[in-house]
This record gives sequence, structure tokens and C-alpha cells, in this order.
Amino acid sequence: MDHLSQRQLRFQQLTRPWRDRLLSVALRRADAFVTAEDWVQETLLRAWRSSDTLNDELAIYAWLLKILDHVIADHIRREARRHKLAPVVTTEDSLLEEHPSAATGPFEQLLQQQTDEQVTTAIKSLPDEFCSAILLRDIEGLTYKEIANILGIPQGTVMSRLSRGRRLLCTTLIKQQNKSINFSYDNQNKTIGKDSE
Amino acid sequence: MNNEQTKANDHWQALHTKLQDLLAAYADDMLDSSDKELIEAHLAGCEACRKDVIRQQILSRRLNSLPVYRMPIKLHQRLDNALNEATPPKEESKTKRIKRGNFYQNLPNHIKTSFLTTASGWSVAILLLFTIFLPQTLNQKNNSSIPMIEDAINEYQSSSKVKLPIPDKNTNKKQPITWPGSHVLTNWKTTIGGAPADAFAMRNGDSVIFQYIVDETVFFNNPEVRNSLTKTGKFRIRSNDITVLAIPIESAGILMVGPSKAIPEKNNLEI
Repeated sequence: MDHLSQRQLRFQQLTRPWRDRLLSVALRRADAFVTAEDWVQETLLRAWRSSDTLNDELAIYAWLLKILDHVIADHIRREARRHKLAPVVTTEDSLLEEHPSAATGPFEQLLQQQTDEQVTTAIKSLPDEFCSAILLRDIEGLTYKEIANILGIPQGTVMSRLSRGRRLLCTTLIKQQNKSINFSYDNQNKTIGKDSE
Repeated sequence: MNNEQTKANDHWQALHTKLQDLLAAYADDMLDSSDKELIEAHLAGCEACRKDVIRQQILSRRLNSLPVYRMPIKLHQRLDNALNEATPPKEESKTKRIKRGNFYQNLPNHIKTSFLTTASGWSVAILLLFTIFLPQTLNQKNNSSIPMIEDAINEYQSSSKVKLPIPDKNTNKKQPITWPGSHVLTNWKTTIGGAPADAFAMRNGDSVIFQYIVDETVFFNNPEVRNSLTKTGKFRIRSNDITVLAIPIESAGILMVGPSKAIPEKNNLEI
């Protein structure tokens, strides 16, 4: 590392503190750990190649996230992963209206019971446009303006993607909980069946 | 139902559908006052939307608590290698690379005189100082299981192999804690426990100590650290010859890393 130029050192100092967070965002969108690693590497390489365009060092994380988003979009295009058709879940969705876990108290309890991994799995299952908006807002804590800039969309679209995405995520989490309850119920029945044999 | 009622219902339904796209911004308190008033008027008569706003707030809080993944050291190394080998941006390609070991001799004469007045000059000088004063800490295994402590020790150990970062005067507004005879060598930005932290290299006698100002959410995260802070006002851990001292300050925490004999006593610190 002692042969690095001042510019390289400066770049590494600015970007290194954000590596963990970049990897976290990538992992929550990638199917596999190696894919997330590749995305982060490609992001940093692209950032380095265009480091002369960086004029606001305080906004470096938003800048890196924007590059990461482009890297992911390129990957999706290359892999010909089709964009999932984003379903619109309204507030009168039957699951949200009728399911006992959709009431605010039980819903909070449901979220506390789900592991971080289960919540992450549910986020990953969302259509890409919802997934990226939710990650940037609810996990990375960016403002609507920053998200609009990173995703290249108007702020109004950020609002609608977040609204629809969060509603869809709520229904996904409720369905996910149902599945695990049914699974453990089935297993319990099997055990009881064996015992009685 | 007469025509007027039907019209009113249709109008309400259209507004209800439209406003659903603004509920996230309302839940996050990101709407301007006129939109906020419109939503509040609608919420007064729409239970489904009221529930939706509360669910969104609960969900947002839960997502906000998801942890940051810590990048494995191997991946850090892979990224460092990839960046080192990457083609430099255009401006950079014109600059000559200077052979290792002949840094000063290779400088043109007119630069030699200003060598110690530039940032890069200082970084080299600090490196020389660092190699003289830093204890033999290489290849020591860090056995702490507390992520922030592990990060601090790892950076302290690995920095003995490389140049200390160039002083980062633009982005650093925080000041380190000092003690009689202490001297700040340089400062930089780093990551401790997954969050950005301010780092300072400080000289204490013939030793170099690193000091980190750590985000309070990271600092108070570990129960072992919290218990010790509650009971004694500090947390101290030793790994081989290196000691880490953790002290809370207003809205943050300080981690001091260095040779055990050189870590100052808490009473001597000018907090």
C-alpha cells in the first residue's frame, strides 16, 4: 500500500468507512453473498474511475449508493432477470382488512417475533423498484430527495413506491408467518402421529 | 342512492386511491403542510388508511433496527487489491510512480525543500515516526469478540504496516481527548462497529496511541461494555500487549488503543 498515490489514499479514506454499509445494501438485494461482493467491488472500481466527478465529500455515501444501484441494474439486465410486475396492494386488501395479524398490535408483535433473516428474506422477495426504495429509506435512513437522486426518479414516485412497497412487505411478512405456523403445526402433528403409533 | 350521493362516493373513492400513495410520506412526516392537512382530513374518516399509516411506522422502525453486516477482512483485502490494480483516472496516469525506498532521492530538487510542508510529506514523516514508536504488534491475534473493539485493534495492528492516513482537516470537526504531554499526529475517518468514526493517532511519550470517537449506538451496543460503564465509568480490555480503554462522552464514546503501558489513566484525561 506504500506505493499508493495521494489521490488513491484520499479515495480509500473517503470510501472505506462506507464499505460495510454498501455490502449490507448489496446483500439485501443479491441472491448470493458472492454476487453482493462482486457488486461492491464493481461499485468501488466505478467510483474510483469517476472520482474526479465527486465534488461533495459529505455526500459520498449517497454517491456510492447511486453507483451501486446502477451496478445492480446492469446485473439485472445482463442476467435478463425479468422485473417482477409490481402488484398494487391497497389499504382494503382482504389480508390487511381481515387477517388478525394485520391489526396494529399483533402486527408489531409479529415483527418482533420474526428474525432479521426472515425480514431480510421478505424484503428480497419484493419487486426491485420497491426493494430499493425501502432499503434506502427505512434501513439506510436517506431523505426522499437523496433517494430520488440515487434512483433517478421524482420525489412523488419515491413516495408511491414506499407506500406500495411497505404495504406489500406487510402482506408478505404476514403470509410468511402463516407459512411458518402451518409448518410447525404440521411437524407437531407428525410427531404426535409417531408417538401414538 | 341518488346521483349526487353516487358522485360523492366516486369522488371519495378516487381521492382515497390517490392518497394511498402519500401515506408513506405522511408516516415519515415528509409532506408539506397542505398535503398533510389533506391526508389528515381523509384519515379522520378512513380507518383502513389510519391502520396503514400505523403499520408503516411500525414496519419502518423494525427495518431501521436491522444490523449492518461487517465486511470480512478477506473481502477488504480483495477490494484493496482490486483498487490498487485498477487503472487510475486520467489525471493520475500522468504522474510518475516513485520507487519504494528512494522516495526522497527521487523527488525533484525544487520539491525537496517543501517536502515537509505538504500533506504527503507529513504522511511519510508520520510513517517514519510511527515505525519507530509503534510496539511490535504485528501477527498478534485479536481475540476480542466485541465488534467495535475488534475493529479498533485490527486497525491499530494493520496500520503499522502502512502509512498513516493523511490528516483529514476538511471533514473532521471533532476534537480528540488529550492528556498532559499528548500530541496529535494525524486524524482520519474510519469505520468502527459498522459506523463511521473519527480516528486520531496520538503520541504519548515514546508510543503511538489511536483514539476513536465512536457513534453512541455502537459504543453502548455490547452488554459487557454497558455493565462495566455503569459500574466503573469505563471499560478496559487487554489483547496481548495492546489495551483498549472505552470511555463515554457526550452523545458518543471514546476508544483508546495502544500498548498497555502507554494508555493514560482516565483521571489524567482532559475530557
